[in-house]
Amino acid sequence: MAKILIIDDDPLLAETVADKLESLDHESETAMSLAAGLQSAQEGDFDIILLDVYLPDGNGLKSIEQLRTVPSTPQVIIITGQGDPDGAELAIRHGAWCYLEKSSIIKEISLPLTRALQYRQAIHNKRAAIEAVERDQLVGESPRFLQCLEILANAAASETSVLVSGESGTGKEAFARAIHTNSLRSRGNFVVVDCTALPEQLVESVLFGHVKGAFTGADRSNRGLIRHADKGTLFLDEIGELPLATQKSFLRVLQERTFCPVGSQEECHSDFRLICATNRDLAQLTQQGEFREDLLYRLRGLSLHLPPLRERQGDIPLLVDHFLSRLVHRYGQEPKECLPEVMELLCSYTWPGNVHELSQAIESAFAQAVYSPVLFSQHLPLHIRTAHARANVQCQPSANTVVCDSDGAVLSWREAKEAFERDYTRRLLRRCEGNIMEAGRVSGLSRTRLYQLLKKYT
Amino acid sequence: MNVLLFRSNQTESGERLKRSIKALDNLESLTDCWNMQELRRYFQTPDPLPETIVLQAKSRQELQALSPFRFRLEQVFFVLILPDADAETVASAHQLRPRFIAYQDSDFSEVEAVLNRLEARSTPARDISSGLTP
Repeated sequence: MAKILIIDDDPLLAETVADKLESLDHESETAMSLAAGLQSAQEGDFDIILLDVYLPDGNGLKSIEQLRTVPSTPQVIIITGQGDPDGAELAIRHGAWCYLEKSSIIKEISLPLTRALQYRQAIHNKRAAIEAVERDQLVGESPRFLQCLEILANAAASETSVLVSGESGTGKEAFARAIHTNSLRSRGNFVVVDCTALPEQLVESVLFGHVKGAFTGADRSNRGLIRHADKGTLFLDEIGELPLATQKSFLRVLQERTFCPVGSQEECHSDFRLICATNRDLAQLTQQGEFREDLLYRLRGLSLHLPPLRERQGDIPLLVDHFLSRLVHRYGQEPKECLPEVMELLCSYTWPGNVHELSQAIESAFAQAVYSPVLFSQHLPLHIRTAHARANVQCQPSANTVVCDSDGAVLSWREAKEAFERDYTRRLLRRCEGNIMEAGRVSGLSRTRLYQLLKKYT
Repeated sequence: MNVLLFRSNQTESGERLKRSIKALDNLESLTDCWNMQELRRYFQTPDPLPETIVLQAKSRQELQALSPFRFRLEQVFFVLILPDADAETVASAHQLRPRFIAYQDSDFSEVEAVLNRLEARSTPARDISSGLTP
């Protein structure tokens, strides 16, 4: 049974509709004006609102958004005496469920009402699933983030493999852990395999284990991480780095859930759930022959793509508060105030290192501000402040190649080279927003050479 | 690479581990720490930690004593050396979220190989422009 509010100034129609709703096992209430309707909607717990367009104190179409955002977030169905295509379009644009003419309402209301209630139930189930997720370190309320939580809730309820993708620092491992924590396997181990850190000659023995004497240095047997993950979750971080030969062996493990430790013929079994993460485009890697297509199909039972922080900037203040309160709690200090201009600076930075970089920046600022009850922008890492300063200064256009001086005379080789180096270094820093690590990566310059250039030209 | 090493100073295994770390290709600094009190001091201040931390737990009790430091260990590359391979020890180890696990009766060549690979991957590409400088 649903609760329905009828907002209509025609008492006869309202009574007829109320009778129809009662025959459908729904409870209804009537308001004869827009103001009374808004008040009832605010105070009541309605699932659906049937809203007339022309009311004595205003146009119903203009109040749809207001009605939809009352605490019970009802669906709004427009009812009108005069059919009007523009009005129907406007109603849908403002978020109405549908548009019914009064002349046929008794005959036609049943189906849209059922569908609106089913949709409402689906939304309710989705919200309940998201609210039930034990988030641990997952902080955010932006629509993109909530979509990810919804997929997380679905993944936790199933046993299928999950492929988590996203730029470095977006929280792929935190999401993978949350899937494990919220699943039926939460009592088992969550076993991390960092594929980036494993040299090719070690990968198989680390994953599958080995027997004593299997290779030089194997002085004792090792069970391997796949067996550690028995009845738990195996998390392969940066799976794109897994060598091709190991991909083939691992595919067989995924198909049969059995494997032989290195140096042994004895088959071992492990009942693990697989979650993988990558910051690379695995589909592209398969085209380049660097990743097995059949393995990719096995991995992406469910795909979860995490947005970069710059695409959910509304979450930055929440994350800053979370990191700060975690640090305050960890080090037993008084709460620190983050000044509005500091928050503004943090929100305007593009965070190429995503949530991880933000967390590091707050930790660094916290360490700087250990004796201060307030977090000033001066406490933030230098590269963030310089990026902010640069972003606020309009760049002067400069030629790509410096050959002549301002008088048109050709420069000497040394002068031209210095001019180029100066221009290149400044542009590089601007492009990388002051991030020295990133500048080193992008330019291919060694750390020493980069610092030499910075010292000379900035 | 900068490494904080927590190990037993009275066992052959601890010495072997230290030798392996000292043999790293690009070791910049090694902070050698022997007792839990000293280790706690590193974790209880908000000062930055070295990028790599290697912790050797001599017993399951010592492994459990490391759990309050888990949140700080998340920020670094953390290698954990286990006293044994019992299921309970392994379960406690994974709670600490290490990036690599080894055992104390190992020769630690795998720890050395992992840390060398990590360092090789984080070093920026070779400076090709230096050869162009007149």
